[in-house]
Amino acid sequence: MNVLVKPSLNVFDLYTTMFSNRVLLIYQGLFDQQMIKTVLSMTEMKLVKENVNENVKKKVFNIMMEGLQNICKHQFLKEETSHNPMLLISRDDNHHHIFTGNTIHNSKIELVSSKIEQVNGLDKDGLKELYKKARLNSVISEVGGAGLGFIDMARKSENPLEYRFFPINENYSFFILQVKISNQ
Amino acid sequence: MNTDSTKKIYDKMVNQKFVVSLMGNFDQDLLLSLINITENKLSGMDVHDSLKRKIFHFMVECSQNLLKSDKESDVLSDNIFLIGQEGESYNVHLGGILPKATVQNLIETVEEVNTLKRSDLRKSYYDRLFVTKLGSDNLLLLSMLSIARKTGQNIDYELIELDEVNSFLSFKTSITH
Repeated sequence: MNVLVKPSLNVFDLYTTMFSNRVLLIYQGLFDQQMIKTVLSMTEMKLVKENVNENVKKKVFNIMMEGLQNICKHQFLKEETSHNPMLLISRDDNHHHIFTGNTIHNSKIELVSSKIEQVNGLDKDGLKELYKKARLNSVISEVGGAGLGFIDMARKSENPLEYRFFPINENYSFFILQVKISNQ
Repeated sequence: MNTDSTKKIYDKMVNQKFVVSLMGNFDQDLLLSLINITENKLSGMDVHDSLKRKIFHFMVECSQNLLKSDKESDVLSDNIFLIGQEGESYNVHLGGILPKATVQNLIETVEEVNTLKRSDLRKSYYDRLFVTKLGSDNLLLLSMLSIARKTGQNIDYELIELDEVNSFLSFKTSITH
């Protein structure tokens, strides 16, 4: 007999956790361009099925692309940590939420935090100006372009970015970024 | 949801060694995307082609069974797809919520297939091919026979009764070289 009479602690537990949190899609693993294409395609289909407003769909899609490109750029390809990157999309009555997660070296935490805080402190016009400057800097040098993704996500979502660093060990942390998109 | 709850879900997947985790409302198009993702994942893990073929086959067959069962019910629920690594093997799970009547049918079919010896699987498979016109029950059995043949393993399942009407059913198979 193959019936597991006790509730499974693995598959069903994960299923109910994701279901109760209204997770639309979650993927954890290494990302490459083909993977991004596939995940975007899945998300588009999901959003169509959910009858999501066209404007919201466009924002979700564009912000996802931005987040996924960031993951691709910063993910660790070696086995320095067991924490693969992650993408999760959920929704509630008022927002769609896009979560991206990837490992980050602890030496970069301060820089990343300051960039996000800078972005969150600006209004629409301020973000527009900052974006122009950042784009110019990205043409001059790659280092100067850091943070362009955050500015772009903040502009498109029209909501503050939320984030947290979860320590893994003395050298690395897991960085989760949350972008909220209003359903209206 | 917030960053804390996201991290908890992520930790669940990582701690249980799920290397691919997907949840959503699967249809044929999504199934193809799922196969692409798995293919990418397995390529990155340097998995033997024959193993990949087994995993894909399992995914396709189980998904079609679940999709077909979903269509027969009034409720279209999300499915969950997971690949976990255990030593040299991969455990592949595909599950969702289904009406009890449908679940019973699926389980009986799985149990029938699992009683067959490996040497009998092939004969049963081809015998059934000739009677598929008789109805969907035989197509289901055919699909299960196909999985068992290709993976060479029993098809395990997890069954959780949710209420008077629905149950959670997930198929699982372990796939090795």
